[in-house]
Amino acid sequence: MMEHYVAIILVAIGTYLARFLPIYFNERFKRLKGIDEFLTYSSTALISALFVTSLLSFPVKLKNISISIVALAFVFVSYKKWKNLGFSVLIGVTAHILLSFLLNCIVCAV
Amino acid sequence: MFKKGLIASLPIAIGYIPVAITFGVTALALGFNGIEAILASALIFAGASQFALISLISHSFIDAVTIPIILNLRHIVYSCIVSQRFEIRKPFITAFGLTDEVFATSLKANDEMFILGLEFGAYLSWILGTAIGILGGAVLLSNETLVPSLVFALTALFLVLLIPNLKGYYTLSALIGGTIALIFHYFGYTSTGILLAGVLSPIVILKIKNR
Repeated sequence: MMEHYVAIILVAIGTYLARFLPIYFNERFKRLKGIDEFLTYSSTALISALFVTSLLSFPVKLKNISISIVALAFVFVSYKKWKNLGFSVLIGVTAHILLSFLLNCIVCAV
Repeated sequence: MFKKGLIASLPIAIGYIPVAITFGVTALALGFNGIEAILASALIFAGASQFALISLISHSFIDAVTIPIILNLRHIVYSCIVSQRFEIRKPFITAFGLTDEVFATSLKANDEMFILGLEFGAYLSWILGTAIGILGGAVLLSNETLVPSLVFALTALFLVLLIPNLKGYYTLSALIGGTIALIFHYFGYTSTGILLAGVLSPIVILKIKNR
């Protein structure tokens, strides 16, 4: 349907402009006093916001959140030990798979 | 640096593929054909917006166009931050792939080629996942254990990116940002919450520091 193609193109243009215009006009932003400090705090807040919103979904399911929190503990410890981003994520994903599998087995057995 | 960025995109790709498969399957279920679904992933490259578009279009064309764009307004803050860190020589290309995950990972970068490598890896996985979804993703998505674990890669990635920032006032900034996002997320306005976290948190911190 033509309507689908038009919507896809309009959203693509809107999304692209939101990403492109601040980069294109960055010289104007640089002239703003204190912008560097503002943006460094902003980036930390954004990562924290992305973390929280990816971790939790409502209504919270105890089983899911428990698995995620334990897997995150593995991520945290491995990152503190090896300081390797990709390796820590892989450890977290592996722990998540194993914990999910283990919990499913326990639930089935009970 | 491009190669390093490409390697660093692996955790992003692990998380993207199942989400993109879901997108491909959902798009077909909602009346989009395979070409339209691939085109959406190839041109928009923004998960939440793509899902909003395909789910809203049957109700209202205007909503299907405006809501995804509003969801992506947070990318303005991302681009501002990235462009202040170092010189962007290829803004037309670099801007295209600046997703949530690419932005967060790019904060470790000090070179544009690293970001381009990240974007390329993330983009390929997004397109590949969508194609898999179109061609038979329903079978893969039936594995209820594997899919949430793969999507968890993105949460793990954000945690790993957050850890080095947790010092001094940055910890407070993370706490404020996380709280703002959580409140809005609870009420279903996740994207607005993320945007406000990026704007309000530094304002509060600077007020406290300059008191």
